[in-house]
Amino acid sequence: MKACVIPIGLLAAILGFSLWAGRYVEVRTDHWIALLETADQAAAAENWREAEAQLQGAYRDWEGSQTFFHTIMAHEGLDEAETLFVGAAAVCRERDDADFHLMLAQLTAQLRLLAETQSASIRNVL
Amino acid sequence: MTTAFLRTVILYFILMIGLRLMGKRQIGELEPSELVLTLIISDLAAVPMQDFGIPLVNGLFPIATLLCLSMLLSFFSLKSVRFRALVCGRPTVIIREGKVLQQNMARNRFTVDELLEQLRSQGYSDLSAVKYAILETSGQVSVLPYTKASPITPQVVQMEVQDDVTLPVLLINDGHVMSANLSASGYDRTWLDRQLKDRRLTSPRQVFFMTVDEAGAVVCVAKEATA
Repeated sequence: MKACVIPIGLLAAILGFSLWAGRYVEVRTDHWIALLETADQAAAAENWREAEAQLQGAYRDWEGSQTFFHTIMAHEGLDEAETLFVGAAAVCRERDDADFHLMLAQLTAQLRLLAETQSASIRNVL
Repeated sequence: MTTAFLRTVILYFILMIGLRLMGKRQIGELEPSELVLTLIISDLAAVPMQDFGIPLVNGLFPIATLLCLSMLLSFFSLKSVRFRALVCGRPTVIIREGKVLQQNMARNRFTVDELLEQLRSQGYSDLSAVKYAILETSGQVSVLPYTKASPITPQVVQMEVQDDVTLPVLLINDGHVMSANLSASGYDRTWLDRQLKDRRLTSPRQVFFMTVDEAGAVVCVAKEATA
């Protein structure tokens, strides 16, 4: 039975880490989406200073997680989200409410997609 | 990553079942589980190696998962005969008492050409010389000929012979002295140097290979002079 312990332990560790990583990505993206929603509401209320602060806060937090995210996820989706973050910041500086709302909607959708790719669902597995 | 893990587990077992259903002739010299491992691992390693947009763990985790599954299958195969039969299959008799069992061959998708090829490779050109032929789980055919077609051995003719089979041990390999083999054979460097001197050699570097068997017989092949 001893010979079983290492492979079973390793399989359990891999599965455990995978599930944890999926949950971690979900928690992080939920946090950024909440910040983006706050920024969107602030922009809708013409409070561009607050909108910019929320967006920058989300981006800083996003950047801090990128090393880990790049080690567990395909880089293509992350690069796309990065581009949308930069685009949203540019539009925020222009103070264009309609474009900013559209850009944040795209960014939120992209973040949700990133979290979805890491979730342990039948849809993903099959 | 959970997706990659679960997909690896699913694909591993699907490939295993697929190979088992394909019959033994597809396998060659590997067990089905080993072949599946060989097939997938090389591809898994190649993808993150070439595509820098894919994280390394996307290759490492599935490979580690496969190795663990393979270890578990080996373990359970060792413990349970029934499980081993399920994973590796059972040997199939394809010639019994000189009669070719066509249904057994068809079940394993083993053709007449392949049977004749296997028999020829083992020195049997005439099917009537074969009493039993067994298709092993590795895809190889074991042949048991009729006694009249079997090679004559001292046992058959009840001849007393001296057992002279010995195991040669490699002492020098392409100029390098195998010190562990030398001491395990009960010899030392002084003895080796004397052997070299007897053959007009001054250094092990001049020797391509040298062996000694349990009876003390030494075989020494000197290196060819390079141009």
